[in-house]
Amino acid sequence: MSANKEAILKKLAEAVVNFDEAAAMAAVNEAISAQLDPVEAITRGLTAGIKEVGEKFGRGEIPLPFLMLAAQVMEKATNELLKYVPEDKKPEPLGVMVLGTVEGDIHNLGTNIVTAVFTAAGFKVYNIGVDQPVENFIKKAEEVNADIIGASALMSNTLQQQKFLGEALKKRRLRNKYIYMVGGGAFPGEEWCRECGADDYATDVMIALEKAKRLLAERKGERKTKKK
Amino acid sequence: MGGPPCTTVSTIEEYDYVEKLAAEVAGGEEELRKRPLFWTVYNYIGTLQLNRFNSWLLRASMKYHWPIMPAVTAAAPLMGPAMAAGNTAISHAGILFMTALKQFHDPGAAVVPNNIVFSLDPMTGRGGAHVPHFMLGTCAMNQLWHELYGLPTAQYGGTFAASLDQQAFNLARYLTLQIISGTDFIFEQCGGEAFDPALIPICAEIARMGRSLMSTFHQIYPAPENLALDVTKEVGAKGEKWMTHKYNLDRLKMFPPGFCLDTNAFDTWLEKGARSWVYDLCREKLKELEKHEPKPLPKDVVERMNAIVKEGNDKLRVRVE
Ligand code: B12
Repeated sequence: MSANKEAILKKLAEAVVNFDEAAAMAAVNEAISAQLDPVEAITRGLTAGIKEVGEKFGRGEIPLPFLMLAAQVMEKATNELLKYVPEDKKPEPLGVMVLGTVEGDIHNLGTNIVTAVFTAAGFKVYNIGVDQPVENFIKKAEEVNADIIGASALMSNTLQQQKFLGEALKKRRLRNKYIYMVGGGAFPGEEWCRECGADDYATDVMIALEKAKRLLAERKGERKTKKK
Repeated sequence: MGGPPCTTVSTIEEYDYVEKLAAEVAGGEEELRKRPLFWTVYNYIGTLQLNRFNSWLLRASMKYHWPIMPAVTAAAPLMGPAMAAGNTAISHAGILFMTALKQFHDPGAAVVPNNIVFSLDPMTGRGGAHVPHFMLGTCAMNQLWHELYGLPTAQYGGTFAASLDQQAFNLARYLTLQIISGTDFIFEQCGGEAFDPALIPICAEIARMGRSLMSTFHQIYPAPENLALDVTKEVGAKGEKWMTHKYNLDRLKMFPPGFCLDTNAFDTWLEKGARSWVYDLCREKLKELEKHEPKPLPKDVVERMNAIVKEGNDKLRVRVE
């Protein structure tokens, strides 16, 4: 059984690495018939695959469309596996993120990729779309009790909105409630991140993912120490 | 001028102020109308659809009867067909659509297609003009407009890289392609990805190269004077006299020196400190350019412009930092 289990987990990972939806769904069916723990199939099978794809993308070995394909395969297979997990046993998402492109800006290639990759990595992402006023980010974050608010801007003249969002959060005393991340192709770096009052920034999705995980872990650590 | 006239969140009303400002600089509405000014209306989203930003731009152009240069294309291979022919067809259809819209609402206004068959680098998703798709597509678009309709074309070129040396390379290559494919109206967009003021001398160098290439194009036509038949006969096979011959001396201005390019021999270059073009020589040129003082606008014009900006910002409630 255990050798078979390892073989199925490997198949799941490989299907994601090869962007092969049919193979992924076949491996999912195998996992279900072999009564594998679906959560383990996700975390040790599919996730291992997406991690490898992410690393390859980070090293410039595969183009963006394949990263998207892998994320799509991952999402489909995950959703199928989750059907076999009882409601109370469904794994908590790594984090809940509200993501969008700021007002005045209609670039969404980047946020779509962030959505796909973060979702594949176990986040619950609410992508509110493009041209979104500051207000909508906050409203959605409050509504879904988000951990992270992510704002993307691609143009010098829409960058300001990232700062306005930071200020609006502060004004409403919500700044500490959320992790605030900024990104997108126009990003001028560290200094601007500070000026926006954001926790961190990234102009690459894999770096964004690492940073988001780190910030979440730090926050959880903080909460624990506070509880003590 | 108290801060930038910020266009973060534009509405069509913003263009009223753009028009007013332009008229002030030009010396009045009437003067402004005499100038060959074009709006560039971009649309790379879906070629037959507009969003609120570029539709405002288009509508403003109709309101003020500005000539336009529509740039309509799909960003292949992430948002458009991967083959240049397909993207050229889509881009072409898009420009026709934009032209028809403009002519319907603003009959007789000039429209010059801003030919661009856009492509992204699929490794990064950022603009990639080094790929054949882009070059072939834009050349094909030029041919279509020239030969099918006998109409002039415009085309923009971009930097599409982060480092200065690569930006310089891209710009120069772009310009050459544009000239060779017969673009009538060329403009290069400097910066965007990462702006360094040293790009200004780089652009100046490249613009000079383009201008001299365009203005001396006629030398390649095999006319008797260009072929220098008589002079060749006179100078003879050894060619000694070319250097000081009047025929050549009269034409030396067709061999312009670089603005800040170093064409010394390798040894000399090393001896002089091995300075690079983009990093050292352009920065040095920049110091010279910084000394240049543009003729200030008359005080009353500046005052009126500030008043327009203030009125616009108040009315549109634009936040200026
Ligand atoms: C593709 C593109 C478009 C497409 C957009 C299609 C779409 N659906 O998104 C189209 C053609 C429609 C377009 C339109 C315009 N564009 Co455009 N566009 C680009 C281009 C070539 C690539 C942008 C892109 O998608 N990159 C790929 C993605 C994957 O990268 P990314 O967004 O950075 O995302 C990554 C990271 O930043 C990160 N990330 C993204 N979001 C977030 C969020 C968070 C929280 C975090 C942590 C990380 C993160 O992860 C992503 C994956 O790694 C850039 C050039 C460039 N060098 O960037 C110009 C560019 C951004 N565009 C530009 C302009 C000016 C425009 C237009 C105004 C043109 C016009 N005159 O109409 C319009 C915009 C209208 C508007 N109001 O928004 C300029 C901006 C200049 C500036 N500095 O201000 C650029 C830089 C081009 C240039 N050099 O001039 N554009």
